[in-house]
Amino acid sequence: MELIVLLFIPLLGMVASFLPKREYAFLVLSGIDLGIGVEICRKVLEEGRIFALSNYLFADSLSVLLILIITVLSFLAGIYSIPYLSAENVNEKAKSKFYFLINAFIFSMLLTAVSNNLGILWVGIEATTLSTAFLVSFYKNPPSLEAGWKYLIICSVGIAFALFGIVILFFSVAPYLGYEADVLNWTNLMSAATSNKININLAKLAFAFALIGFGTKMGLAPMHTWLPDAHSQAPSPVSALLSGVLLNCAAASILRIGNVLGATGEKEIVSNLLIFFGTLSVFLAGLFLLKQKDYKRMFAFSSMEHMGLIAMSSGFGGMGIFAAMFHMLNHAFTKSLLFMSAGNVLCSLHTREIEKIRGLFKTMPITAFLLGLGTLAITGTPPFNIFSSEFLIITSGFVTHHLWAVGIALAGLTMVFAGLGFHVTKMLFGEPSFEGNREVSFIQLLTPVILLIIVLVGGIYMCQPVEELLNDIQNNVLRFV
Amino acid sequence: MEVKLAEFFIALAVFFSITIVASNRLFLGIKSYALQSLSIAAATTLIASIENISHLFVSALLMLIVKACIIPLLLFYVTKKLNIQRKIETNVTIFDSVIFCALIVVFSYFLVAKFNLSSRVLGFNVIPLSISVIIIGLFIMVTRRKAITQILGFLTLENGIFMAEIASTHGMPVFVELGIFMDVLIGVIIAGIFVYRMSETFNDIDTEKLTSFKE
Repeated sequence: MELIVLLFIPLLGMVASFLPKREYAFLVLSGIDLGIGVEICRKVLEEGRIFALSNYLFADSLSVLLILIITVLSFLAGIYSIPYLSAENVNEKAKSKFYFLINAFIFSMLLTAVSNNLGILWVGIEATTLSTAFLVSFYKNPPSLEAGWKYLIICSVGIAFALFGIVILFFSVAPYLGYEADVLNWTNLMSAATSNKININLAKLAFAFALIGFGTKMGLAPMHTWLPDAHSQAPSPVSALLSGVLLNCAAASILRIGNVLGATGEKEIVSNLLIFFGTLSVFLAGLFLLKQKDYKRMFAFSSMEHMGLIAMSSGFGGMGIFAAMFHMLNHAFTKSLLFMSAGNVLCSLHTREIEKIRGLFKTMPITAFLLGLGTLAITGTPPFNIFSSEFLIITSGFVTHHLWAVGIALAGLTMVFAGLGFHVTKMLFGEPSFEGNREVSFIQLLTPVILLIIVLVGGIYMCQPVEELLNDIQNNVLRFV
Repeated sequence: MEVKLAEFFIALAVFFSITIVASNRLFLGIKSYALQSLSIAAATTLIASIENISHLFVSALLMLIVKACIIPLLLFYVTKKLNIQRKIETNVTIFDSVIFCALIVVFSYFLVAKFNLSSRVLGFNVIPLSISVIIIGLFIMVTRRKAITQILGFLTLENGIFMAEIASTHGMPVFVELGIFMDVLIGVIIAGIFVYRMSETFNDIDTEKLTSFKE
């Protein structure tokens, strides 16, 4: 029941986007959705998995983790969008479109998080592409149109590959279980895999296609090419959601399919492929990040780096899964903090170029403070949360004897640290390139401040429900990866 | 007999995907796509009646309405409205492309033999043919430069996946199939709007001119 309400509220939000007070309607609705998300979390922790709609929807601890990230960030993005859109002088018609699409986006992400059925999951992921294509090209200028087109085409082809993978997976179990729709349910796929009612060669092929397909959406190298463009051109609240949530949904889909293959005893191939693509992404992201000229684009490459870390760490298995899921949570909040502070800079100074921005501490002191601490957090400096999860990832790599992968990833992390540190320091210090006080309004600073507090507290203290969730994902949900 | 006929329609779909590659005018490409969808719909209907599976009739009907009528009409509308130069521009000459497509078909048979992917529903031919349609779709996307031909390439790829579905597993479950059709239709509408906006902004829909994000 909760699951159906959870999905219904963003749909209501789509309708509400035609009302005059749409900003506040969105805020209220996403607040309610957050409450329902917390309730689902409580229920799953107490009773284990919950099902709805004749088992086609379900929530286990991995879905709960995604639901919490989605609902918290969409609520915060709702608060941030109000001052952001009015500072950008967006007209009423465009605002209506913005809220309509962002609700559709949240709906499709929640659908992927709670779908028990692989087919529904695919439909949901494709819907995220369709609903965000116009959000990416929201400003309708040439670069944003180009980014939107690239995003639409590359992700659609990627997702089509994933569909082919799903067809093959269906084909691999159908001779044993029949051709009914619920064969594609995770729960049935898992029991088929553990009782060896699956054609293993076909399942391997299916995982390869799913990894390429959903990997495109997740931003793994070399399928990442859409990611920096789309993330840098989208309005900042949308960038925060794209980077913080959407990539995680794709990552979770890959891991679930990998888990099915792993359950047949073919753990090795899953972990090798994940480690290979993960490490490659971290390293390439580091290289690309060094020479960026646009600060939003630079943060987009950092997202690619963190997705690589998540894939790599999942490949380590065991404690690596715990670390990857913890990293997913931490990265979502930290990256939103960065995109929102970068959004404040863009909103006030109207330039994306790093070269043109100097002395932010003098012109926009609070935003500069947020941006500086956010950069320290995302590069894994203690005491922020990313430090603890990255430390866990590296440790689990050493424990499982993946020295090469860890070595290459550490080289990538060093480059990321150097690149981000170098570019952001240039922006923060020096003679101001803009005159006077350019600080944005209080309410536009509120959301990044909340996120900074979450990021800081998350680094020092891990609250118990989160730890239980992550432990459950490691020991039950993704036990075979 | 009916199985042979179904296989014939599948082969016809491959033929029409090659005509998309061979066409030098946008309209011809769109017409080929419509005919391809029509032949897949016919094959699906035949398989549905041979195997007596009711939900495949739904898929066939959707195929007929959405992919053989609505999507081609939408593409016709966009092409007419833009008044763009209707010649298809290629990176590889049409002659070379067709030769390449023939190689793709041979290669798909080789792939399928290697992975032992034979179809349980129809004869041996259907899976390799559908894989060749998928690869030909990708080939169109890579070598044709106009934005509309890239949409056509994607749609061809998607048809190939549909063929693989009906041949291997009697199609996806019906609500999944509905979702896929809806996603494809909305995707084409959105891509059409993008093409329109790009032609207004760049005065062209040649994707070679989209170069602001070179790394």
